[in-house]
Amino acid sequence: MATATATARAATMARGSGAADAPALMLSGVGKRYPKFELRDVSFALPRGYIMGFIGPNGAGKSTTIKIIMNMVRKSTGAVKVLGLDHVALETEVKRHVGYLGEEPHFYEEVTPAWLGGFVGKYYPTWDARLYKATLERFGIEQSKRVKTLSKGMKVKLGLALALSHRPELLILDEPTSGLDPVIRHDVLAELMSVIQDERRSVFFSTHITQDVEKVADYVTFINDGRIVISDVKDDVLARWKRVSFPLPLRPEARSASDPAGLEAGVAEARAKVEQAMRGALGRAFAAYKIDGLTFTGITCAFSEDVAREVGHLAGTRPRVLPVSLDDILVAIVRGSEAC
Amino acid sequence: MQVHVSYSNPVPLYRQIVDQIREKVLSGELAPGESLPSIRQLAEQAGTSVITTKRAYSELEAEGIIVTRAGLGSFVADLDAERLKAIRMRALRGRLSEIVADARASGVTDEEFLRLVREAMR
Repeated sequence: MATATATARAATMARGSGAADAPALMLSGVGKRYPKFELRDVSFALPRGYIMGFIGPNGAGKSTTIKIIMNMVRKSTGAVKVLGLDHVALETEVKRHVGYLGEEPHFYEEVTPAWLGGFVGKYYPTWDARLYKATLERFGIEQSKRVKTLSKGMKVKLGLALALSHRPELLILDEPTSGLDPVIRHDVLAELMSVIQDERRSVFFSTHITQDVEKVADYVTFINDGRIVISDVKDDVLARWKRVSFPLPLRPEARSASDPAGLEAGVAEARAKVEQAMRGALGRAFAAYKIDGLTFTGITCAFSEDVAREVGHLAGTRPRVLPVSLDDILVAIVRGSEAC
Repeated sequence: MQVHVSYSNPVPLYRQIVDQIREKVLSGELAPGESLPSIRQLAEQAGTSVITTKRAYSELEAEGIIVTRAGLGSFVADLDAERLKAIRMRALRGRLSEIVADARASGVTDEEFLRLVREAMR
């Protein structure tokens, strides 16, 4: 039995994919304490073959989390498994199968992309020089130009080419699209989509540009103030979070009041009724709401037919339900409501 | 096969994909037995996530519009005229119930609504 397991393990290692059915990335209870910042109980998992977007405002702990995964920062607590392997105990093995691009990639400025490929390639048994050359060509990067002549966008693409050319099974990117023009951002995202055409390969990327995640990511993980707030299938998150609006439920006599004072009193009454409901159970489904003139607009994180019905009951009409963007969700999370 | 989704459209992305492929099948642009791109290819081409596209294909399978054969990929189902008609009717019924719900929510009575339908059919 032990031999069979060992053989299976050897075969798996030979194919170079760690434990084949393990998640691409799994963090459990990861913590890190700094004097002025604490990463607390960070847990999430990225199944193989998918893209996860890691969203949070600046200073939320995105880069710290990524540096912990890469063992560039030592974690205080918790466990990190990359392709089923412990990221510290089996660091060399793990890094052979991971492509990493840091937030501000620093290259030797005086050398050429061709030289860099030769240099980086030596560290990877699976380095594919032809793939590197082809990727540079596709990205429009001249092999023989010095790195210092490249624009910021081109340097990011160079970093991506370097991170991809050993055919990693997991690509980890820290803010790959930040500060890039829309065309290059599009190219970078298209590249991520093309990576996961192979369903054993996965991508984990952090960003504060939520539109990028909205398009390509299968999973989203929101981090705020060192803690994971949401980690789920993106489509499910977007199905739960909705913008709900309705006109204030004025009593008929207020609606038809001929004097402004009568109307005002009616509005105040309706407003009070809605505000009271929002302090109750229904309010717990809302991350935020405002009443502008005669219109209620709220963002719910727990949309369901039940919530729609309850709101309809309060409003006396079926509420308007519209989708929200990941940006709206990020803002609601950062503003820190009690609910949700 | 081209599928275009809009992120500003309130209709969920997977539904947009379902609606477009269903329409292509109903219009004959996609013939019975024709092979469809893989889930991952379609995701890349349409610029949506793999999970979104996967959901769209499962929905189309549940509706009997496409079939997936293990290892071979997905194909347009062998639909005869009767089945096509049934699918068209179901799609129309779905759209109609949304319109009816809209009408009722905005205070249009069923009699008024029926009058509108009759007028539109003239």
